[in-house]
Amino acid sequence: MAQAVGTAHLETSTGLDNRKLLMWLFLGSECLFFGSLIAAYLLYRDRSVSGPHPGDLFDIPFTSVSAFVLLMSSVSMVLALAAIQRGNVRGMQIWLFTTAVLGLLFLSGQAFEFTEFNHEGLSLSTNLFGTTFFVLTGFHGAHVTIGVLILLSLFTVSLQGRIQQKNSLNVELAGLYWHFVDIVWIVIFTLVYLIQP
Amino acid sequence: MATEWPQTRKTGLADALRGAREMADQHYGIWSWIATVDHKRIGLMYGVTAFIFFLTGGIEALLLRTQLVVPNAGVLNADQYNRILTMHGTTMVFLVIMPLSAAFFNLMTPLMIGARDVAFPRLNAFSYWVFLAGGIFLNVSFFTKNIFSGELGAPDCGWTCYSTLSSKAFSPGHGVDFWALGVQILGIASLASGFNFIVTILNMRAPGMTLFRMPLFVWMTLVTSFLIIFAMPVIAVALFELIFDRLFNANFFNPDKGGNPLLWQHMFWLFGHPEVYILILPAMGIVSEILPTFSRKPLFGYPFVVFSGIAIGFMSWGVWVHHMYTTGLGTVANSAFGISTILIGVPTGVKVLNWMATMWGGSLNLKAPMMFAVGFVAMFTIGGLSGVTHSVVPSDYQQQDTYYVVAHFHYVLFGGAIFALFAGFYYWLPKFTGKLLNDRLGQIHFWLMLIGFNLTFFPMHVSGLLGMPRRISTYSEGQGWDFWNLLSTIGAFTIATSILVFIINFIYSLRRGEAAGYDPWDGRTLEWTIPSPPPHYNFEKIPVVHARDPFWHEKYTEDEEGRPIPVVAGAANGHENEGQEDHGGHGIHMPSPSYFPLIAALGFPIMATGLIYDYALVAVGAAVLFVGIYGWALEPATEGEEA
Amino acid sequence: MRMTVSKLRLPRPRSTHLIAGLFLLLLIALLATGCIGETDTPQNTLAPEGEVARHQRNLFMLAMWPALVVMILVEGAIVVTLLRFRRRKNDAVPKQTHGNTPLEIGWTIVPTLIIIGFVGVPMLPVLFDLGRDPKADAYPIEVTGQRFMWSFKYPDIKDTRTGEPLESPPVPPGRAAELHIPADKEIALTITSVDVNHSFGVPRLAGTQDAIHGELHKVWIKADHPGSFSGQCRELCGTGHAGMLITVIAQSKEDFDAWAKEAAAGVKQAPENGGPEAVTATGSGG
Ligand code: HEA
Ligand code: HEA
Ligand code: CUA
Ligand SMILES: [Cu+2]
Repeated sequence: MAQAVGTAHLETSTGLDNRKLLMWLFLGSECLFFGSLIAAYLLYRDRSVSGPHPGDLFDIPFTSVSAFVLLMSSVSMVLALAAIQRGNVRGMQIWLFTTAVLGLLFLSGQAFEFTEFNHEGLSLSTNLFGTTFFVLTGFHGAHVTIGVLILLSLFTVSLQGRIQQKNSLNVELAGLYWHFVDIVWIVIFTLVYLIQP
Repeated sequence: MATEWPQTRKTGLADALRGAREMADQHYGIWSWIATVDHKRIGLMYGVTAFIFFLTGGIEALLLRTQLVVPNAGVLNADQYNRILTMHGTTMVFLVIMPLSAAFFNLMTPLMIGARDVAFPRLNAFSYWVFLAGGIFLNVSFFTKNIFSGELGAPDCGWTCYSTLSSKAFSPGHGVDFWALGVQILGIASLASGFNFIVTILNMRAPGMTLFRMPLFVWMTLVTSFLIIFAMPVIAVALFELIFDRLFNANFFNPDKGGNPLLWQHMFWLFGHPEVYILILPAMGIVSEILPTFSRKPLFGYPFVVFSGIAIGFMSWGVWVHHMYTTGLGTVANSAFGISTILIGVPTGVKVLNWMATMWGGSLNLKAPMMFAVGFVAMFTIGGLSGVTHSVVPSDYQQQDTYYVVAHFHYVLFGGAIFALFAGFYYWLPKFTGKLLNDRLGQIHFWLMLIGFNLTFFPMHVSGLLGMPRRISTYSEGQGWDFWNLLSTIGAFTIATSILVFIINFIYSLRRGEAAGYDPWDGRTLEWTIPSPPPHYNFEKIPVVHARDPFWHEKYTEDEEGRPIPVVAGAANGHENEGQEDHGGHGIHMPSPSYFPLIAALGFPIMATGLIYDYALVAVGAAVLFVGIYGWALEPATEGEEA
Repeated sequence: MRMTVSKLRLPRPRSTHLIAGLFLLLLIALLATGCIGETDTPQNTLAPEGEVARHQRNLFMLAMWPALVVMILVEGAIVVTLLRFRRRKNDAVPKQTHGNTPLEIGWTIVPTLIIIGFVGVPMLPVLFDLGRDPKADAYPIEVTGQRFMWSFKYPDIKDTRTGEPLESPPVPPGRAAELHIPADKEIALTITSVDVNHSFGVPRLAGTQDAIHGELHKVWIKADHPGSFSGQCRELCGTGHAGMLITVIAQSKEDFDAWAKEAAAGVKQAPENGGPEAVTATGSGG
């Protein structure tokens, strides 16, 4: 992975690892990205000129379950990091894999939800709700997908023994990203599903 | 190496790559440029590419001016005019000023903070290749129609691409698709470099280089990078929405389905106003380096200049509605944004006054870099002041979308950014070419450009106040605009001549120019302590910094009355290379060259083309991107780690 | 590998004269700007003939003159600095002044106060006056932008043939659509668009106002006296943008009523009545 150059032996000026700083900045930037998407959704809430409307489609219990699954994946992510920081490669592998599976579970939930909505007549072009809903949750889903890919890559690499206590930073960075994606979902879930006018 | 190249080519791709890799490792030949991760080379590539785009955008401007030279001219028809206009604005903003600033970030930031490279050299290379890909992608749009029959395929919605004009119904064809996807790709490049330079500046400073000892240019790079990473996602979302609307029939900007075309304007300008400071802050940084050097005085009020830069960065988020005064948002919104816009002139004013105080009492060496820097202060002020007259809401109802606006933004963009960037060329290019640019030609360039510039854009204030709308492909006589437009067109060609002088100067100086030496200008900052051109590892020993303007303090000390005196008689250029003898850099581990940034970057234009023409290509592009990223992630990063 | 800097022995051009010359040029240009208000061109934003435009012109002057003063001061100071502090042979290295905090605080605060006091505060009442809803007795007209012509609807005039409100006849691109209004009376315009964004601008009466599909923008204008005033679309709307012209014809009460009566009856307007000769800018091009 990316590596600070020529400074392998040098401290950074702030003491923060370069890659960790990069990840924080990236997530800061992502906040604006999701902020804009969410703002567009909220601005257009209630402006659909035709149905179906959120109330007709949302299955709150179902989505709550999948949100819970995603939330749990954050816990397993924490456990994976804790394991590798203690030098427990095996434990990390197990928890990484669990996290990825939970992520996949969430994604299948979303895929199910999307097809379900589609059957009930909501598509990207049906109305404003369809447009803003699919784009917002779709981009979130894409982020989860990338997260799962990262987790699975880490998992594969760790099978070759290339992830150890000394480079646990790799896991930490993946974890930062993963938690961020989770938090975004909590915001979306609250604003889009739970608080309906 | 070279001799192995033909042989390896026979034995398959992997070996061929290895052969090219060796060339790259040896720092010669074309492959060494393609695979380079050296910030200086990337900076030069950024600069050259952006300059070529500058000529493109300039030629487009000349076409526009030719069409407008007299009323009812028939050089371009309305369709061609709109497309060339759109490409002119887009090119100048996204393919000229931003990447030229990025060129200077790349060239100068590591040298000025005493680092060997940026924090993520491959990300840096990636950023360049993505920029190049995006730039080419945008310009390819011209050729998507039969250009020989005079049909241009380029986007035609203006650089602001307002909805609903940008919708499929009113802009059929692929022009706007190319525009949205191209700008999206360029955004990725900007984001990558934004992240990279923040980390570099925060983390890679030489020992003793505290934040408040950093050169001003580095400060402005930092602020700009923050603006980039927060502003780019906003336009990214807006562009995605436009793309979804156009390609997949989404309804974001479709009023018939309840969508609001104004959402686009809000998002565009929420990005757009920070963007204009993204364009000007690096220029301000450049000027803040040049004025002290050529006045032989430190920057007056360094902390004020730093803080006003930061203040501009923050305030730039609170003024976007001043581009939308006439869209009917209501008086309350307009008055709030009117006041905030008036206030944003203050921190900029602080800078202007500090620059003047820097020169006051100095010993001004009026070499070309200084002339351009002073030109910047003089011209930018005019543009800024017309900006302030714009901020007055009711009177802007009159000026909105007239040439008065065109005058305003060319004074800040050309009179500001472009003047400063040329100042930067004259000042810093010798560090990298090893040759000084000819000062005589530089002076000619300056005066021609200054005169041409004012001749082009000052009359636009007048034609604008006489009510000439912008973005019109022609106009009738009897409006009182003829004379002023004639002047503008003459001016535009004067500018073009001055640019030719620069090109001649550049080529001539590369061959015949005087050697620059370490420190041609009696500089104050670290980049002048190393040879020109610098070795690829920059600093033999990482310098230790004890003060702001560290190099100056090495060269000068103060007598009892506090007057500066050279450390050694005539030592303005004697002392600098101590500890910097070239030992060939043995034992310094530099990042290895890599092809993966280029491969990853190639994925984007392929995907974008696929979105427009054939979804199968999207998969291909994604695969390419994937290969690039995986190779990147798995290869070792520094020379030392190999073998 | 030490290198010494070779002195650049290049003759310097006489920048002094050039700078002075340039400064003069600037002043001339300024004077030109100052005189714009005097010229009588059709779309002059500084020669108002309506109440709204007059307010706008006055505010512009309020901002422009201080800006000009600041500009002359700054440019003048630059020139003086360049002349006075040019490096001469054997110049000693100047004193290294690092700043002057009270001075700098001063030049942060004083401009803030000045600009808020001189421009910001006077702006607000005008802003709210121009932005208010039209008065109840204002004469209503609906303005619609459409690629590439303007059309006007008079709810108070019934077309005698159809019984519907009178609408202006369509005009080809490059010809001005005519808007008739009574002079010296407040007009309530409701501006909208049926396709892309346009902007309704008739500078001698009022600044521009965007026409946006799905939105109704209410603004008021008032012409001082009878006359005809040109304007055109101010927002890029496509190939016909340059030819989306407007002529506002303000008439005295009696003339307006007479016109309304004829128009309502469908009497064809002779072209000569169409105000100034039609402007010939063609938007559609080749
Ligand atoms: C580099 C780019 C740049 C910069 C720096 C600026 C700087 C400013 N701009 Fe400009 N602007 C643009 C680029 C830029 N602008 C572009 C591209 C557009 C058009 C976009 C489009 O529609 O296509 C535009 C349009 C634009 C508009 C919209 C006009 C319209 O469409 O109707 C407005 C309105 O308020 C505005 C205001 C300002 C202000 C107040 C500043 C201030 O930051 C200026 C501050 C500087 C000074 C004030 C001068 C120096 C100060 C002193 C000497 C001190 C004393 C002075 C005072 C205290 C006042 N700009
Ligand atoms: C950084 C930004 C930048 C720069 C530098 C310029 C530079 C120039 N601009 Fe640009 N302009 C914009 C940004 C910029 N512009 C933007 C954002 C818009 C708004 C677009 C929109 O409305 O959507 C605009 C709009 C705009 C208009 C308004 C058109 C309209 O509204 O209808 C005009 C009209 O005159 C114009 C003119 C010029 C001219 C004459 C130059 C000149 O200064 C250019 C000088 C450069 C050259 C002349 C190049 C030199 C070329 C050679 C020497 C050729 C020879 C070489 C070879 C063949 C190898 N510009
Ligand atoms: Cu209608 Cu421009
Ligand atoms: Cu702005």
